[in-house]
Amino acid sequence: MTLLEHAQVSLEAVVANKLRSTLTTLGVTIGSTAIILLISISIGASHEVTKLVEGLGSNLFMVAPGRGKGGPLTASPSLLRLSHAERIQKETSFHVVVSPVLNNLAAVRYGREAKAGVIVSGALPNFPEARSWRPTQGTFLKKSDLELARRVAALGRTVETALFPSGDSLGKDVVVAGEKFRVIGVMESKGQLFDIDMDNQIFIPLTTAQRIFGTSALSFIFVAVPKPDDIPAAMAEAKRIVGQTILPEQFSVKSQGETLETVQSISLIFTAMLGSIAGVSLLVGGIGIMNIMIVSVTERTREIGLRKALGAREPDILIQFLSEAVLLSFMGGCFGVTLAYIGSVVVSKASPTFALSISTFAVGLALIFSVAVGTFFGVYPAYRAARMDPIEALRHD
Amino acid sequence: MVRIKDLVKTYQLEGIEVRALRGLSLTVDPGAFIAVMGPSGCGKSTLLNLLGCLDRPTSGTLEIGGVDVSSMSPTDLAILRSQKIGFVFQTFHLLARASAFANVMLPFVYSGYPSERRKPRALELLQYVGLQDRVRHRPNQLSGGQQQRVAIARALANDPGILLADEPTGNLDSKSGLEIMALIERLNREGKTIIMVTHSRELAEHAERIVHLLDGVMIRDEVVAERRVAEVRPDAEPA
Repeated sequence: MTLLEHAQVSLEAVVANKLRSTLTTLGVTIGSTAIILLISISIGASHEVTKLVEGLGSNLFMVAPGRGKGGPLTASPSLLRLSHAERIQKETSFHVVVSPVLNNLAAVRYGREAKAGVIVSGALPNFPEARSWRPTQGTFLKKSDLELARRVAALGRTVETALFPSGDSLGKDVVVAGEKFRVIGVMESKGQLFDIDMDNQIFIPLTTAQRIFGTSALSFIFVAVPKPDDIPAAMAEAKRIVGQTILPEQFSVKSQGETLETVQSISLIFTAMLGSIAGVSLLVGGIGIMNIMIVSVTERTREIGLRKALGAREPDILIQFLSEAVLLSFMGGCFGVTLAYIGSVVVSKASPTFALSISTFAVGLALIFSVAVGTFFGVYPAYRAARMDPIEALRHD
Repeated sequence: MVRIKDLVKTYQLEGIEVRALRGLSLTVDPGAFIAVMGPSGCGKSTLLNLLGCLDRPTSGTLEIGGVDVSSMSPTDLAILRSQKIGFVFQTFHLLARASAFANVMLPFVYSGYPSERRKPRALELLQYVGLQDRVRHRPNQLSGGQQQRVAIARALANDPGILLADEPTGNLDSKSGLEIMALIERLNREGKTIIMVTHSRELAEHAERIVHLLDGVMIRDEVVAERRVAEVRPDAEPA
């Protein structure tokens, strides 16, 4: 008996009981959906982390005010001053680029167009070097802009698009906090980091920012080191240097490694949750298949007896029922793929920042798992069928 | 040729030893038509199961076509069944969800019959039993007699030399029963060895020889003097 003939016999049996077959596959369906989403989410999360690392630069850490895990807009009063940045620059043993910023939210206006909630970032000329974030048109801030506290600005891509739909922003004057700023450059797009649009930002000289926002405090001190390996040592030094003048709880030194940990712990929770759903439902699904196969074998006792009388050998019967179980669970796996695909479309629609893409690897793994479940739980019923005594089986009613 | 010598079959039934056959010897020539009779419990079903290679004897020898099958492995017995033996059951044993055609096709997968010849062979057999117009019908769309014809066509699929019939007309009215007997007689004329179990003297007289069993031994081996012939007249009333 060829494999094709076995498959045909199993398919006929599955099709003969459409409703029962479909319900039987339900557990495996949910299990494989969970597997696919699980893997796709962790792959998606690691993509996000990679993007984050790339966005910040892998050789970057920062000194932030306060202790919390606040984002770029931490509201607590900052005790960080330019003097800290200068001392880090002077005193570390590494060749670092220290780039302090002062961030504030403000509306930016040009003519009738206005964009609210823009991050106005007071920065130094070395910012592009420190953050590997450069202008694509025009220039970034120059040393003389800082010295003279000029009112010039480099626009993030989102701001530029909002205020200058036709793209001719260079040389125009935008209004920030009631003052006119000349546009000298447009920055390359950095996209989104989780829910923050990095391009919804403009850069003005730090000195100008301190004047218009009336503060000498800094929001962050970015420190770029030559090699990613230098980060731990350089961070320790920075911590010691800043700690000489302000209390340890009044600032923190963070690398993207910590952000990475947060993301990983979130994706770990997801993985554990979906993993247990996947495991439990595959188990339940497998038991369901075993149950229905035992019923099916009992129902078809006479058929088994007949097939044996017609010359079926024990392996023939074993394979017939085993492939029926595998077919059921494989169908469950296929339904799961469909369901996961629908799920990913829904998730992607609901949250545009988290594009969930189904990976081929996940689909393959889910199908392999579903077949494995069918095989494992199908063996016992199939073995029972194969071992039946043909005489007893033919007499069964 | 079927040759049975000192055949013994004992089995355990709820702890009690049942001696179904107690030293039976019998020879059936190729192309013969014999009937096996006896009251229930006489061992006729056991004999038929052994002849059909569905079971193995406790002792004694059973030769089918010159081969001793009494100590063959289950796998070899299955191969033998698929090639040399055709079963006809009292309750037909058709697959309910399959068409007449699919039921006749069933034995081919186990005998490894050449796949390109299966379809024509199945259609030819259905025509042989007179069901060329019922090929796509399911068993529940067929009368009892027609169902038994499908079962006979199925038994003939691999062209076995021996046909084992267990009360083949037991579930049929007398008219359909006679039609089935006529079909069996025709197969016998065409060279098949027929071994039929029945409790009906009347049906047994269609055979050339009647083997009477009682308590697991043969008590009489009777040659039928005046054989009945199943001749069905279209206007005949059921007896």
